[in-house]
Amino acid sequence: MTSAPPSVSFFGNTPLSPDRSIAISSFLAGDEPIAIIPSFHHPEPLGLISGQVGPFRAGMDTVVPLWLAVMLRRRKLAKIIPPSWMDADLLKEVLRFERDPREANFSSLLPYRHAEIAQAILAACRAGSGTGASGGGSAGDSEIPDADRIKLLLEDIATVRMDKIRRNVHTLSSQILSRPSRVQPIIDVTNIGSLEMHAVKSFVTESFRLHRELSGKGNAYSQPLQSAEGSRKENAESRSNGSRLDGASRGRLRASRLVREDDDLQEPRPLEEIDGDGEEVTGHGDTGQSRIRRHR
Amino acid sequence: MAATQTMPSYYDIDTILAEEELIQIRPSFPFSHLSHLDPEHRSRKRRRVDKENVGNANRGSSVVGTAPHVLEEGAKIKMPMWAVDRWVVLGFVTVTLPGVYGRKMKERLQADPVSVDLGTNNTHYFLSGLLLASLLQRASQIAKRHRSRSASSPALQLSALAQSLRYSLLNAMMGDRLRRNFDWTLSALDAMEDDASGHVGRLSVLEKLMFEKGVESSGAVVRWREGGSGRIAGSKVVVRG
Repeated sequence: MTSAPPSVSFFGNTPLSPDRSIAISSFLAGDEPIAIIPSFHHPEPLGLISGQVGPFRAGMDTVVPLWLAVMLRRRKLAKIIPPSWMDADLLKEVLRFERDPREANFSSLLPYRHAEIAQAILAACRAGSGTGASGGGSAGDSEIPDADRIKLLLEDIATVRMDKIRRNVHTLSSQILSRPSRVQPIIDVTNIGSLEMHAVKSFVTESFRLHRELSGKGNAYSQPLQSAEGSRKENAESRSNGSRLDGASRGRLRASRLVREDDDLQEPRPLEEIDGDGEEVTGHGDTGQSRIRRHR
Repeated sequence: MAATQTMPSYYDIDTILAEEELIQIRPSFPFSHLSHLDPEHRSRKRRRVDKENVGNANRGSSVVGTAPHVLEEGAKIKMPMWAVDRWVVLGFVTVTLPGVYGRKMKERLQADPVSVDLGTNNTHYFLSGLLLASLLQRASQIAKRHRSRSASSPALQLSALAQSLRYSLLNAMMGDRLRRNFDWTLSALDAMEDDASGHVGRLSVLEKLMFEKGVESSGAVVRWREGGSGRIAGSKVVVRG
């Protein structure tokens, strides 16, 4: 029906399918810096678009973009040093945090594109599939010894976090969405993962759009109200002033019409501006704790 | 560009079908040459002529008929929403909400919103209601603009009607139905034993749209987890160009 809003703003206003959005997110994760231990010697730094990497000395660790690390690892020219968060103990801690019903936020220990980074590293090391070390030939001693455990922990974390998002949406629906209000509903999703965001983004943005329409603040299903007097005045004005003023007068009329029609329409202010008057609604009950703020 | 993206397409079939919703209206004054819109016009006319004949026979005078083909003031007629749009906005007719937005349906949606089947007979329930509320709101704004304060009760009535309709739609759509819909979007592809068709069959057009978008997104994530994204294929436009 209506075309979807653009998923990635820097690709212009072209609507992207979820598959393509995730592919782009996965591609962008390739720029994340990661440490490797090269097994070759290359004294000259490599000039990449994103900057210079290297020089490479065998046995000395250096930081490169993830895509380069994966490429070198696949050619057995380097070993990847997994990031600090790809540790079983730390991931267990994260899982405990996410399962805690008192914690409304997501854990800050995981980076935004943790799922994409983890998948790229595990796939490159061929350690996540269970065949692990034996599949690597010369790379028998994998960089990630407990890769299968890490993979399972990441899957568990993803499941628990999705459930948390689901509960937040439920709370939002029961507290704000199902009644008309002048405030804009906001879900606090600080530290949400890129993949989790892609999973719920389409549904949530569509429901927000429909909520706006049903609250009488949208304009997708309402026709513009034309004032006969206004249009007569506009025609007379444009006739007298020539065609150069047409655009300007139309713009003025459009603006004034919006002011008339949307008297109660208030744009949400950014978070920084709201200190005192942003009331916070905290849901207590079986849905756990969710942080939903109402902005005037 | 961004503004046009929020607008439904002129050719959007769902909006066109939703505007076909029949609305009961009553003309505020006699409409000439539109008597054919009133299905009871002939019988009413016959009754009136009979009455006049009886009266004239008693008085002994000749028959004097009223103006032919006139749609009388206050006659109940049902017309599609798209056809009465201008009349409602200009205040030529008074509107009665269709029965489907009445008290009975509201009570059903309040009692057990999830089990109400909107996919069979009321596929455009929310969309038609949204368009109708928008129409009433516009009519109220026009009425407010063209009448003095003392005589603004029609504007207030229309505005109250629009608000009440919006509130009931919002309450029905964004409550339990939305929550159930969201749960299904997350689990429709995972759970092999669950069949989403029963749930989808009960959804109205707008809810189905939300469901399809949600399933597409969660399906994309599942596909990515299973097989990664591979290469980013070039756009068809670029390939053809």
